[in-house]
Amino acid sequence: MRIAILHIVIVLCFLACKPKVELPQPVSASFKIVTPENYITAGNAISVMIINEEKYKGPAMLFVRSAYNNYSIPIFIKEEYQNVDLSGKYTQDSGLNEYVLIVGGEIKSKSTLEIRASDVVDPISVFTGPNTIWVNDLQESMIVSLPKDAYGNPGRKGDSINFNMRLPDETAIQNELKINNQLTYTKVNSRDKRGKIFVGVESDLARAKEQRVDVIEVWPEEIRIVAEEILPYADSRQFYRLNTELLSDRNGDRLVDGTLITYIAKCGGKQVRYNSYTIDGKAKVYIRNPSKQCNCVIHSEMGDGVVKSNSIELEFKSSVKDIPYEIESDIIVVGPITSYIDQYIADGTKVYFYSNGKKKMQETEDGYVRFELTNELIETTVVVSDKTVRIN
Amino acid sequence: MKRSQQFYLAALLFGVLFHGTVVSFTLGNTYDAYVHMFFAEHYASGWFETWNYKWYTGFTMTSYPPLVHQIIALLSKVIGLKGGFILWAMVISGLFIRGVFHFSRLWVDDNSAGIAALLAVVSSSFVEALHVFWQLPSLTGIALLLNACPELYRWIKEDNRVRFFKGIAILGVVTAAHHVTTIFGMVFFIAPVLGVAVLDRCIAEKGGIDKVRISDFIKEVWSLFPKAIQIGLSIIAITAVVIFPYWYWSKTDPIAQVSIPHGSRANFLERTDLGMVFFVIPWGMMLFFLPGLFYRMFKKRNLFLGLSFALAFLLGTGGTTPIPKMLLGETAFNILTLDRFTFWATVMAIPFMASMIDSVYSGQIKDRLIAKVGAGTHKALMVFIAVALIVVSGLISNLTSLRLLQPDAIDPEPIANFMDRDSHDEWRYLTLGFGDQLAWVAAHTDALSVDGNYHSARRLPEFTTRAVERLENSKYLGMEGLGALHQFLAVPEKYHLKYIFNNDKFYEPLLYFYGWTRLTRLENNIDVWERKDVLPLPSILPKKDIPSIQKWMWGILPLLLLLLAFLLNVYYGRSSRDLPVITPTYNSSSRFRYWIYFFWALCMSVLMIFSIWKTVNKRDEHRNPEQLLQAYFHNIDFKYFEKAYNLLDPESTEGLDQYILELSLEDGLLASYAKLENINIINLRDISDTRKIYQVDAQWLTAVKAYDTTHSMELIKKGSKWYIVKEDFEKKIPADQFLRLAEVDFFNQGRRKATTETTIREDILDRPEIYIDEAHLVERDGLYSIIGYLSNIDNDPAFVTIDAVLYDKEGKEITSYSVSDHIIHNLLPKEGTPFRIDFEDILWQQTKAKFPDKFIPGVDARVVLDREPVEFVINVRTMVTAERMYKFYGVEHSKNGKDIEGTIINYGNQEIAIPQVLMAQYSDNKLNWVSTNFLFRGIRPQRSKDFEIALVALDDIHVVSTGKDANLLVNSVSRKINATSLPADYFKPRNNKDGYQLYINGLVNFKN
Repeated sequence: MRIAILHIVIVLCFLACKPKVELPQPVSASFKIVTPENYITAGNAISVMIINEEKYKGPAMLFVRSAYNNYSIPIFIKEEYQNVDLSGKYTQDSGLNEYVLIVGGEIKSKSTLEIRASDVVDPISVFTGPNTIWVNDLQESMIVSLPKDAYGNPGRKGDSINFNMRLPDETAIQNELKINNQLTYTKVNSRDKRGKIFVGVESDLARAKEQRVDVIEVWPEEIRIVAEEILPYADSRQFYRLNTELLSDRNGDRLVDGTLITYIAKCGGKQVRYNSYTIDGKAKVYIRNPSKQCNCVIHSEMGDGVVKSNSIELEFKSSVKDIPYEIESDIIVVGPITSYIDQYIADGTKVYFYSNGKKKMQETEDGYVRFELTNELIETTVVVSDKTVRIN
Repeated sequence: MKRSQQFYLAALLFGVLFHGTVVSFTLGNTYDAYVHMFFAEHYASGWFETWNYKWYTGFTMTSYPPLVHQIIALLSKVIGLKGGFILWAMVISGLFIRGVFHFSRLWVDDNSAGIAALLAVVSSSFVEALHVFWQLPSLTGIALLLNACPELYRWIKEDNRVRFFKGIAILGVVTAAHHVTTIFGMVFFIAPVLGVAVLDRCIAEKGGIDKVRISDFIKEVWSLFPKAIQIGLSIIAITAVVIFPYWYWSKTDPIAQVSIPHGSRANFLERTDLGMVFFVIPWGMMLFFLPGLFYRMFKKRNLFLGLSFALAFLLGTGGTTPIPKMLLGETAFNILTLDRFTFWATVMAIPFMASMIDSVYSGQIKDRLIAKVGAGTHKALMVFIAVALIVVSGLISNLTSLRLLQPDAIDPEPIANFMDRDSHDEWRYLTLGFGDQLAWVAAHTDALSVDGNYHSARRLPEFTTRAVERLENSKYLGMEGLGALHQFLAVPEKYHLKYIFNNDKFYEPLLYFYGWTRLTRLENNIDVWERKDVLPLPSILPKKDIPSIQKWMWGILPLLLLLLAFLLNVYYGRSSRDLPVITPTYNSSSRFRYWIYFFWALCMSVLMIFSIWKTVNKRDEHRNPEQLLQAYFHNIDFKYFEKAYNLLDPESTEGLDQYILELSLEDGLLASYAKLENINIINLRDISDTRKIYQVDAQWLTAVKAYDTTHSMELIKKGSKWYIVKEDFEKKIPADQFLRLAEVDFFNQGRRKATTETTIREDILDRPEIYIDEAHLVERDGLYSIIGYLSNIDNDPAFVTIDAVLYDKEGKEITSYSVSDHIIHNLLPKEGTPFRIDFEDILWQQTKAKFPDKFIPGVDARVVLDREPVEFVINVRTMVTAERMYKFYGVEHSKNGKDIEGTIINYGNQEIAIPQVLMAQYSDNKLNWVSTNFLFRGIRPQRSKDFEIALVALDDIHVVSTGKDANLLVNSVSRKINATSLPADYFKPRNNKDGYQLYINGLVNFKN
């Protein structure tokens, strides 16, 4: 506790020992500041005259106040007409600069001078947005330039800035615009061709980085699909291949890679929905054959049904040809189950065994399955895909 | 040199060497070591700074006494953090042995005190506290407290004022290291020591303890009352001043917190595993000597210590009986970790244990044993005790190697480098699956984490309102843990959380489906996940400052006191020059007592042998069907595939390689991302005595969903062993051997120019345009959700997230939340997704009293609003994403009553590890509900998986309001801005005859 108290005492002592501030004494003399010109260009030197008719001698302070900075310049007045030379940072800020003379803690005189920006220098700041616009003038982009002089002042009003554009259809546009309110801007329309719009911005002495606006294609008006490869047996194993024709928008511009296309099929009572996406303007898909014989009606969509394709109809026949079986004491051996060219039916095909209201399932291996018989054979059937065999 | 001194010096040498060597190996696997090193790193980088921004959005360092951390910080300047930590642990080992030796001399003869010093080296509780828990501040506290006790005893007994100052100075250091030890040490150690000092004065005055009456004692206490007051006030003053900023913090910044459950508060009879850790292990060999210990400690002279011992013993039993809770009160019981009482009780018992061992080796017990069982048996017993003490100590010190408490060591440097480069530290990060190494990572980087490993410092209501100390191990914390993590991941913008370092596959589904992107894998095999579109931290972060004087006190006083205590003790010499204390003799002529000792030791031996037998039996996995199935699922859960294979009937398998191959072929939630919660085993039927059919209902927890699976398993008995008949593996094989597939890929340059500066304008891509087709505020069972459908109408792939706000009829905001996993976050051009936003109770104030034990994702945290919402606003935020997307899948489905039966077909070239099915349900062509389902098995290329989903009853769902242009925003601008580019057909009503639509998404671990 003592240490804490001691600490507090020491801190209080320090606080009590703040250096004494000497206040300036008032001065009765009058002064006037005279600036030599109506305006100057940023960066030029000027000489500010202080008229001191009462021949005061002593310290004073000249405050220079611009839109961006405040500077205080200590001076010593000793002459009736005293010049204060200002250059460097004191004359670099564009806009209306104010000069204030303070003597003896009082404002004695004020004056103003306009400082104009100097020539635009590299690089010109340019802002573009949006950078991606729809074709067919559905959207526009804006290019804004903010030219600056060597001291960071906004460009001079009335100075010219050129906007040079190259559009996807290889036309060139030039716009000469005057600086107003510190900036220049122009709008860019997408016109009717996909591609890149390049924009260059320059003035007599300065240039900007290349600007780019991507013009992107709109939605296609139609989609056409074709069946490319198909094995028409409902084996629930092979895939059939569908593809779109070249997808393009109304201007003939090919759809961008990676555009999602959905294939939708109605097969028997089932809805089938497959994803695909465009590569080089086409969207290919592999759809698995149905598990039972049926007609499949297929179409594709883009944007959840916004654009729909033509429909194509594919017929799938049964893949099961024969379902022989043999009963061995307490086991029934089903097989070899054969398929459309007398081959074993595909491994893993589900075989259902119904007996006395109970259901069992096995998957085939080399065309065979085995079921244990635990009951008498009452209303017993074996079902493979769309074929049923009654067991007696 | 006296024998006791020889023992003492041998103990010091052996102790420092033993513990100093072992700590180097146990350091990385322990509970608290890294946390203390993290604290030390704070002082090393800013000695007088009391605010730490690194954890929990900031916390004050004055919430924990600083001495130990400051010492390590100082040492770290020379030998690094780990070196400093190990060196201080060695110093503490020595101080503890010294403390035990001198403390013992107050209760037992010098010879026994020497043995006590040796026992201190192998003390189970000390070894566990040091090598398993690494409670270094607490150990520093007890080691110094033991050294302070003799000083205060001598002052009372011998009126030696220097001893008073020495004792108080040491207690000041104890406070600076671990204030809880001072506070409880007053009751358990100081009070008995002062009591016995007073009693010894009475004994000296009356000429024997038998002649001391209670009135004499009271008279002596009265005469020493000023001294007692002096001690009391000194301790209070020093405790108050040395860590004044701590008291100031606890008074001025009281944060009401839900306490963290601790195993030491459990019922050890129900949780035998915790009983082992918090009771059996710390007591160790002492359990065999308990009656003798009680007898010695309840001798008339030792009564004060005996009462302390009994109280500490009782409190250390945790929730086994209701007594500790009654004694401490509900609040203290739920805050304190009760294992410290067991630790203190064992420390109090060391002198008396030593006295008993002394008696076995050279005293009365020895004589009796030789008389009863012969000298040979006695010698064997002596060897057994010595060996047992050393072996038990060795086993405990290696406990962390025998049973891993922490994940494998993680090199923190790659993580620190990642966070420190490219301005990544402008965001917060989170670690998952790091264990205590999260503190070690934090010590290596200046980046800030939303998580932490110090529950007292939690400030966010998301933490303080629930028993979650840290998010990194949330999978073990049930609803509170995973629920909290869900919220942090769903609304990361709130915490400026952008990066997650993941060391546990369990969390991957959650990260992926919540819209996080796997960025890279670091050199230390830690995955970095990133969330797009999160604002960086503001340049000025809030902090709770304290007066400068307190910072100075905090930085100076602890070390100053340590220096003072050290100088005082060095200057005024060693207390071993003190005259020995006259302690009672513990010999007894009672045969009955020795029979009790023997009977107790026998009982403990039987109990121990029975426990070992039971454990061995339990490990025989083939013993019965239940144990077999338990073991099989345990092995599958922990990926012990070879062990699982050994449980299968050899005739039903085709070798281990085939088994491993089959398991490895298919990924999926259950195969790779799940944790087995519980299994229920039912005997379905007995085919014969040696063939049985069992049903196993297993409950699995994944980060996104809890699953119940049912397995029908055939068991077969061969000889005396049961085996599992292996199930058939998938028979279906794909149609084609070789596959060609064209894919689209994306690449985002990031900064095109190699620079560490902020990204230039030209490199920032436009946010993709999204159109929100429809959105509705719906109410279901009193809970509100926003459902809708949106499309990426842009030409760039888009990452999408949605923020939603609900308003009442007066236009006041009620609550806000973001979309979690009811959406496809990454969309290709022209791809659409349904979405649903549920409103969760961020502060969890309303539901905290009703936390279920088990995690039920997405259900329990839903907030019941106090005002009825009538309006809403959603803002879809988008960014161009270059994330690789896998879309080569299809779905076949049909309605079967109230269910959808379907199959997902993967026609591509990658495995869909976790397939997700989003189901949008419609009524009159208007979206009514969106639900999400995850398939628990992966789908390999060219294969399919069946699923079944129940349709939600739409009668229970009421549309409260439908979104319009004004309240459906895309990147903060009305959706109508984006409508200009859409074809006229886009706005035609679309017909959904089936009343539902399925959208597939999936987590894919790209292999090429």
